[in-house]
Amino acid sequence: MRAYVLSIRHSSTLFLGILIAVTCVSLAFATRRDGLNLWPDLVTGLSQSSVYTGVLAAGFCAWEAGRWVGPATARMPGAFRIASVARIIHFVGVVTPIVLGFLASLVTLAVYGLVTGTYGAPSLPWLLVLVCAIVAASALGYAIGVVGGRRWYVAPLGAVLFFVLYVLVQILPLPYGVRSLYPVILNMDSEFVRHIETTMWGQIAAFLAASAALLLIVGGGWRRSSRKHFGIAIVVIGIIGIGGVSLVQSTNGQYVTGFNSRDFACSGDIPEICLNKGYVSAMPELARRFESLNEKSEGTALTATLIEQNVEGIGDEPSANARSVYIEGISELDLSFAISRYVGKYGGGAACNLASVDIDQDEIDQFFAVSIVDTWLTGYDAAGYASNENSEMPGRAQFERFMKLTPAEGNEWLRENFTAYSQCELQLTDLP
Amino acid sequence: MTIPILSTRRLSLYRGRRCVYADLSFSLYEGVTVLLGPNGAGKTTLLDALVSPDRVKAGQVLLDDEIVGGGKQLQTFHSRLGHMPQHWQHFSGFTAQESVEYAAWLKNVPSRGIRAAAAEALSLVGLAEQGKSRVSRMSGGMRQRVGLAEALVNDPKVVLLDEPTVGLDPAQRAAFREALRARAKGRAILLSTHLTDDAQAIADRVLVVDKGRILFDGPPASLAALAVDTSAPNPLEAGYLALVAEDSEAQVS
Amino acid sequence: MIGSLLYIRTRRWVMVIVISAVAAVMIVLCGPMNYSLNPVYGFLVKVAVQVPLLPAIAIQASLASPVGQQEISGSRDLGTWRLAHVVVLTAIAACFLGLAGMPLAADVVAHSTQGSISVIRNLLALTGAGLIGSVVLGPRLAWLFPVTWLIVPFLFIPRPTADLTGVLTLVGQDDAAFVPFVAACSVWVIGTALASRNSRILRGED
Repeated sequence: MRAYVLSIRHSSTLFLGILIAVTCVSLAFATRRDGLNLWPDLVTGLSQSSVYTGVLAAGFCAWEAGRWVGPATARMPGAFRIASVARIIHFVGVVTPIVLGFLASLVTLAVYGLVTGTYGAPSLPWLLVLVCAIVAASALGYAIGVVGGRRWYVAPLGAVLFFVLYVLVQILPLPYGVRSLYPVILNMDSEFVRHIETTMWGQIAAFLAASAALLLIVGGGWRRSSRKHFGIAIVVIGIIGIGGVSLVQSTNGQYVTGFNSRDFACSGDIPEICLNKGYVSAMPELARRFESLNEKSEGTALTATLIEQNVEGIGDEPSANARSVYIEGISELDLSFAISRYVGKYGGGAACNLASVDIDQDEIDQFFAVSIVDTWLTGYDAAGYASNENSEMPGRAQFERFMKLTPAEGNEWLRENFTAYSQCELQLTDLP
Repeated sequence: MTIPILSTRRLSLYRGRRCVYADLSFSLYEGVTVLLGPNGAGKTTLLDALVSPDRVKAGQVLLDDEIVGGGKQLQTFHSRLGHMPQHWQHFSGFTAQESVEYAAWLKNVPSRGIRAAAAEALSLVGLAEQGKSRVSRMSGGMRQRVGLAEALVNDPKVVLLDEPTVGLDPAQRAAFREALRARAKGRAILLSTHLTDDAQAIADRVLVVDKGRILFDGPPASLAALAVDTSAPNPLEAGYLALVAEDSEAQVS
Repeated sequence: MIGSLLYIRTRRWVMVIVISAVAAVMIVLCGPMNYSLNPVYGFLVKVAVQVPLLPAIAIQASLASPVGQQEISGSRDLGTWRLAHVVVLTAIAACFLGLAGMPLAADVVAHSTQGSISVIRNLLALTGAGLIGSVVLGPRLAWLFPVTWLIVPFLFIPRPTADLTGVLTLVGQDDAAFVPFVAACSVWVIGTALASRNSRILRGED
């Protein structure tokens, strides 16, 4: 116990623990989307931080391992049945402040979540994976330090090697199941997912087994006469590690699968808008935009009465009589884009499929004609007229005229031409 | 009155917030002075302060009765100083000759004379034949002698040696002491140790320090005379132990 | 002359030059390859422009003396030597990396806007950061500064631009980004000046 306490007191990782805590909390906060207060965003930020915290942990632990070597510490392995135990005790002492730093960041975020009413809850296995990832990074660095000793390049080598391996994992065409075995967590959390905990438990087992194996091997336990105990330990660790890797492979490293919990808060007005409770702050502005859309599209099939927030890409199944809206964020631009997607899905744009070859001028005209109408309906410049003022784009004159129409004028035109619009058969000459 | 070669005037030294020495004043003259004291007495702290007087916050260090400040004064002081620290370092890629040559270069020994000065220093410590051997492959005793050669290569006026005989076997210690004794003339050598054997063998004068104070300053025979048991096989050690014990009792009461 | 050669050997010049050469080869091999440094936002960073981290750390780490105690008690002022050490090794590394970066800019197919200037700029910035780290944290942990600069800004800033955030995300900026280039040179100058006057760097063993 004393050796463990002394390892903590005399290590530089106390400073590192504080740095990790600050980094994790800062990144978690920085990942929150404007206007939203969601636990998945915080978890995503924590996951991002594993790139940096892993590098730090590897470098610091490499240095600590290297400078532990000395006349006094050389005698310590003799006190244990397995020589590696001395090193393991030192490692645990070194990594404790690192882990505590990360846990401190979790506590801080938990308090923040309680005080501010952050929506949702973090996945506990996911958080445990992040802890084990830091431990694995630390073990890798520590092993480098044991081998390298006090040489001048040991600490930076630990840090740089961890980062280089991360880059290799990113650029090589590896299966996702293999990428997931590297202790940098590359996943985004969301309120519209179900977590695949099999992968997470597999990673936990794999990371811890790899850490233990590295420490046992570099600690020199295999040199001692009591190889039997060392052999048993390695076999047990191996079984755990293989089990963990198998779990990760069985899910191909997948962390989440799309899912809508339908935990809605509804506006109760017409049009009725039902949003996930974490997005309720978007309700007033979204309602205003849909009311504006309804005014312009009154009397057509585009008018919205019941809208539900859904997750595009997983079947997008709103309930009967409802239409879906997909929201990425709640900034001005995000909400304009959300309306634009709605109109693109339920309006004329859905029928406009430009062929990849042999596109004729009529098809281009039809595409731009529908885009002009969509831009007027939503306020989102789908075709890019406003951002390409000086370029020669088809229908610029029609675009300029259409944008000047009042809602009543535009609505009258839309009613007359809705069939052509909804089937992408408009021509630029049809526009006023 | 003889001017001391190196002296301190009201020196106060701290380790963090702990005061190790308060208002310490003493002088070194030609010959070997052994600084004796238990572990943790502050011997290394004192030697470090003598090596880097510019970092001392209170008090002064004087060389030939002139205060050593910073800048050029410090450079001049270092050019006349030889130092072998407690954990002497060496570059693993150097031979003994190269290691001492580098020390000579650091001491501003003229370029033309570096090689000869290094060879002479190695010869003084009995390593003339080992100049081409790598320091990293030498025994502990030989490495310590390379460290001593580095401390002597610039023909210094003051030599500070911090526990230079630790880890050496008796034969190696004897060789080291002999080399040191041979170069004591015309210099002030301060050797810190917790081994009374070192004082017995080569000291002209002994300083015993403990708890930030000088308990004894005088020739080895006077220290030995303090022994309670006059028939003890090592009277100097007995005298040292009696002195330290008496001081501890006085502190408690 | 004897002393100079011995000084160069204690500072592992050969090793640093070899690392610079290896880094140059890596830049050529990596070519226009890029990856998502930020796993969440997917902003792409070219691998080649990050390679200067290796010689930067090598230059900074090589400043630490293996015989610091002897140098502290020496009478020779090594400030000028440390300055020359950094300048010469940076120049050598810049030559290697600059040559290796030329094919990057010439890659018309990949529409590359990063080449020799980006690579040299990053070398200066990361070396300077490492030298400042040496003064603040000591030579053994100084790598923390350049590594942090290489990674952290891209985690916080999903879409780097060429204004003030361009200085933070300097490593990923184009050749033509003027303010980041000036920032890199400034950091290198400051780091070099601080490191040449600071004796903490001498203490290789902490």
